[in-house]
Amino acid sequence: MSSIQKKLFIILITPVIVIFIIITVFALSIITQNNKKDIVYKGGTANSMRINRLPTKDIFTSANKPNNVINKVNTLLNSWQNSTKIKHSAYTPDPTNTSSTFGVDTEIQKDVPKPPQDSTKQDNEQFNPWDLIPNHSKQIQSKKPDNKAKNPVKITIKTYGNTYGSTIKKYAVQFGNQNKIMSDLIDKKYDESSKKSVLNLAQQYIELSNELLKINGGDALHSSGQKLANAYKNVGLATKNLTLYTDDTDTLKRLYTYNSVVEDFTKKYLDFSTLFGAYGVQFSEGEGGDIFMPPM
Amino acid sequence: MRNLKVFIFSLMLYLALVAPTAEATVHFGGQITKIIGCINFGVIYARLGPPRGGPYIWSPTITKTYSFGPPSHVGQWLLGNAGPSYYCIERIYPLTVHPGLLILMMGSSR
Repeated sequence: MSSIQKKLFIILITPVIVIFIIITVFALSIITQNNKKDIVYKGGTANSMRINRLPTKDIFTSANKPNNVINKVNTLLNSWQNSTKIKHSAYTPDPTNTSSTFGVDTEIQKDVPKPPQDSTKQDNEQFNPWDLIPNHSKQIQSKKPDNKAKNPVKITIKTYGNTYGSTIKKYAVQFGNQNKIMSDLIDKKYDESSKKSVLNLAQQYIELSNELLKINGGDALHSSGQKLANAYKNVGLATKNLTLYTDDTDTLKRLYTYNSVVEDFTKKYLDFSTLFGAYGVQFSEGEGGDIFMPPM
Repeated sequence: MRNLKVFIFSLMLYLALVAPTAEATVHFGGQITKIIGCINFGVIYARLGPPRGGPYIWSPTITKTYSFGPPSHVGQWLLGNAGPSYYCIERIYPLTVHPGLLILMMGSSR
């Protein structure tokens, strides 16, 4: 190795060593800081009371157990035991073991009754062992599976929504595409091709409306569904009217009519979509009724 | 083989870009490049740039508007979804109209 290579090696390796030392010192300081954290007890800190920083298992096994900790644990276990005794007699411990000589060190596993596996829902609500643990996250307790049976009304509404949505999708009266058709009508000055496209669109609306009117079911939503179907027809007729150009004044009237019809249609569409949410019906992506779900 | 891959990629890209137009409501979002106050009942026409731009119309009666209010100036960002085609009437003589999609709900930047 030449002298230049040696120098280069030293230049490269020195910062790495320095960084390593800094990281080690930093890590050690953090570990030391964590160990020095005081445990707060009634009447002062662990340091001030010379209880020291015993790990949890040592609190139960050490010969130097502080009395207040033992008392606290005994109180908790007794309350747990008593509450269980009342509500679950089948799990009541042996009466000979319920004396005041209940020892923490040796009797925990033996005497503490476990919550029943097949108890009723009411019992579970009345007695919750997690309540005995202070500061336990309530979120963990609330993660219970929803075992409620599906409401038949919801199923009916969902089926209706899927049929309704699938029909709309089938006719492909797509708002994104229709804007181009409507723009062309104005831009191309009502030429025959643009008129034909608009008339075709209008016809789609009317046919869609007729098909939607035939859909039965969805008791609670049927009325709203029929209104929306009629609104589709009105949009179709208003769109058809736009092609009947005579002069600007007449066109202006037709435009105002078209706009008001579209506004009415939009209100009905939104109302209809909102009803599914009101009944707690949700559609997943790919289902016919997903067009009634709000955008994510 | 390479050409086939390029074709499939192009097709997927095309479908991804065209897909928004095939929805019952159109999701849009972009910066306003042109804004017009229309004479029909306080309607506002806004042409948006990318990523999902186009002509959109805000209506005081229909559009559900969240922060920070209706379209107000060029450069403002809009995000929302739109429904059927609608007309903004800019002038009566000569008749000047701008078609756009009616905004159902939207939010905007300051």
